[in-house]
Amino acid sequence: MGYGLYDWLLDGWEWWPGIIPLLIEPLVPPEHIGPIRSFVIDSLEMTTILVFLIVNTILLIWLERKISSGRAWTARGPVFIDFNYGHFFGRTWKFGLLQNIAEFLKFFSKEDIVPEKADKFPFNVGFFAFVVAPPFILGALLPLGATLVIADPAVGFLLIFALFSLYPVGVLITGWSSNNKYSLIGGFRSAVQMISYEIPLMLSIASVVLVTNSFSFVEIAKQQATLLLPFAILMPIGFIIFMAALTAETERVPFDIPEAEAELVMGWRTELTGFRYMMSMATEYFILLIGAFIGVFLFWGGPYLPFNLFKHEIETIHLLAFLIILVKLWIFIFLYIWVRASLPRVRPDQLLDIGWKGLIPLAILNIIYIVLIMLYYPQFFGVVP
Amino acid sequence: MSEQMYIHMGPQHPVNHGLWTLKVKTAGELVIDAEVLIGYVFRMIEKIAESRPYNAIQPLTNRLCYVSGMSWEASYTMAVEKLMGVEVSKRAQYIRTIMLELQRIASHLTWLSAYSTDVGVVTMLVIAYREREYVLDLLEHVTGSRMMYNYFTAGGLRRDLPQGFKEDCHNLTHYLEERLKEYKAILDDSKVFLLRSENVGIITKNDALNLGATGPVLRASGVQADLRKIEPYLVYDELEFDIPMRTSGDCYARYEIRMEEMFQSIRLIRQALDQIPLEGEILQKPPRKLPKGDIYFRTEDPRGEAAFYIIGNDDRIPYRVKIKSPAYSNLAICNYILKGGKVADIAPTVASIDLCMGEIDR
Repeated sequence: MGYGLYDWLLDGWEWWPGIIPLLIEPLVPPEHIGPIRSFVIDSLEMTTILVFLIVNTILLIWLERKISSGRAWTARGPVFIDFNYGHFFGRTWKFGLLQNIAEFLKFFSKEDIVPEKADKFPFNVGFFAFVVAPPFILGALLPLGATLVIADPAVGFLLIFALFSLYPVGVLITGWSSNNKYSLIGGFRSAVQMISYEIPLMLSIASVVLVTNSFSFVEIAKQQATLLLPFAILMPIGFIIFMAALTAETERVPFDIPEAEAELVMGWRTELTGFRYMMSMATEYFILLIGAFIGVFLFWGGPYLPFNLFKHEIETIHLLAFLIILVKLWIFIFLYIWVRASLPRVRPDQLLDIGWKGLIPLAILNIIYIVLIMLYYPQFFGVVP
Repeated sequence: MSEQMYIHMGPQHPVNHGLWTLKVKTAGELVIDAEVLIGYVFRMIEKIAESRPYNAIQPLTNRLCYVSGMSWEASYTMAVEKLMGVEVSKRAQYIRTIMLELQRIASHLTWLSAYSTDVGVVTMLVIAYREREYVLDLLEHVTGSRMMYNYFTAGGLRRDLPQGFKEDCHNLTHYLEERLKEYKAILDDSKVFLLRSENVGIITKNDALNLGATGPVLRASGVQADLRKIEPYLVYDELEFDIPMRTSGDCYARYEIRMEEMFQSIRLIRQALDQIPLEGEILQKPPRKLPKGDIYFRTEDPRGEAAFYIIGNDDRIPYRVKIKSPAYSNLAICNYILKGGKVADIAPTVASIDLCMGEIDR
């Protein structure tokens, strides 16, 4: 497993930077050199995926500002930045691409305020442990090509959703401990949203698992390649449920009720300032990016194109597969930005109505549809009885 | 969360378009009680008016409401004229009507952007403001100012229409009509918008009458009350227009009334532009002093019934100026309709009433 980007570090010492071989060779027994090499390679690969995810998150926020708060609002979004932090990027930049980096720096320079009457331990630890940290663990499970993935465990995306479910817990802890009524209501709304939207989300994914008999991204994408068409077309109900539930999961319009700014100021993040606020916003987009990854691999066929177009090339040329995934990711994200620019926000009780009376029955119907097809016409999903 | 608690929404809170406080007693997501606290922008306008010549009060009336200054100066000017017995020429009256209807459109567009933002469509915030800016551009072209016009004066208008106004105004009405149809379609076709607006903040006909609601809020509850039809002033009795009415009394009815009113205003402007006489005195010299006596004069503001009670004392300075604000009357029903609703419904309900704190606190 791995991306194979750093395999040239495996044998020989000529590519290692200067002093390391001099230290390792005399000091470390020869049987330990192999594990050290693979440890270094794994660390480098984890850094690669993390850099990839962070850069894409920044670009995603930029795209949202360009489209949703830019063109849709008859404005142009960020166009240039006036860098007051040492002028090291120059005064302007094309398309406002550096806007988010400038603002990250700005948030770090802000005062970090912990409310005097806040419950300090959960406010400080709960937020970072449950909101910020879990999504960063997920990088290892995300494939960047047909087979390029750091870890492909048997539980696959069950692990991803287990970590996903920690997010509302962190939101509730942060909202409750910050001792603010708006945050409290926002936190509880998040909990309510979780219990009503995790279920349809898992049910819609269960339909995919029923067909593919696997929890692995790589395996599911490969099976869709043999079916000629991706699951988004073969099981449209499941795909729509997945999209709606993911919107609620990532707390975006029309399901952004935990931070409904019209009545709750900033919802659960009202008391977050400076870099805490920045981390909370960045995490939201980070989760959207990971959600887009899941959607692309589960329902859009991952790196494969419909009708087995260029299947052999995709499997052998890693760069091509990577580019296809990237394009699909950005199309998927664009859908979410588009929805945000055009829909109002629902009320909490209506959200529950949609979740329990709309999505869950639909998800069960979808599963019945899948089961009936699997029983009577399994060739539809490429299963040979 | 089952305990009851107070949430202060205001004076700095996204719910308040203006400076006021809504003290809400909640149990979880349920609103048990609501209390309105006002007085943050009290500027003593009524008291200052007792120490100024009557024509120097008019700039103050502009500042009563920051989104419809024209309609307030119109009410004041017409009240003064009625007290002094000055008759304005037909041309000036037509121009006044056009200006008032343009102001009504601008005010309702501001409301549209505020309401849609509170429901959650932030895109509408910007695009409704864009159209409002075109209306304000036209008003600026005529009066020289975007918000504080000071255009009407006792005896007529400060200046005549500029060249090319007629074509500009016609073009604007066509542009606005097209755009408003588009926005109505955007919002009406949105299921989520209907979910948030229908059956929210209901006022029944009896309650609306008893609590003293005016304007679009009253008309949305099934009372066809519009002073432009009941007590026509200016040239409203010579123009054809309908008074929209709904019976459901919810936020969606209020939204529909205001959208419909914008179309009716466009209709009025077009008729007035066609019928406007070319000859006519723009500004007559009014008397220097207000005669002894009092007058109560009311007009249809974008928010409802706006009125001035003026007591003259055979002096340039009026003895008393009392302002009756429609937004104040509508604010009074606020706590009544919020009771028993949801916390998430506070924002759209308050926004659908269309408050303007400048004229409430005065």
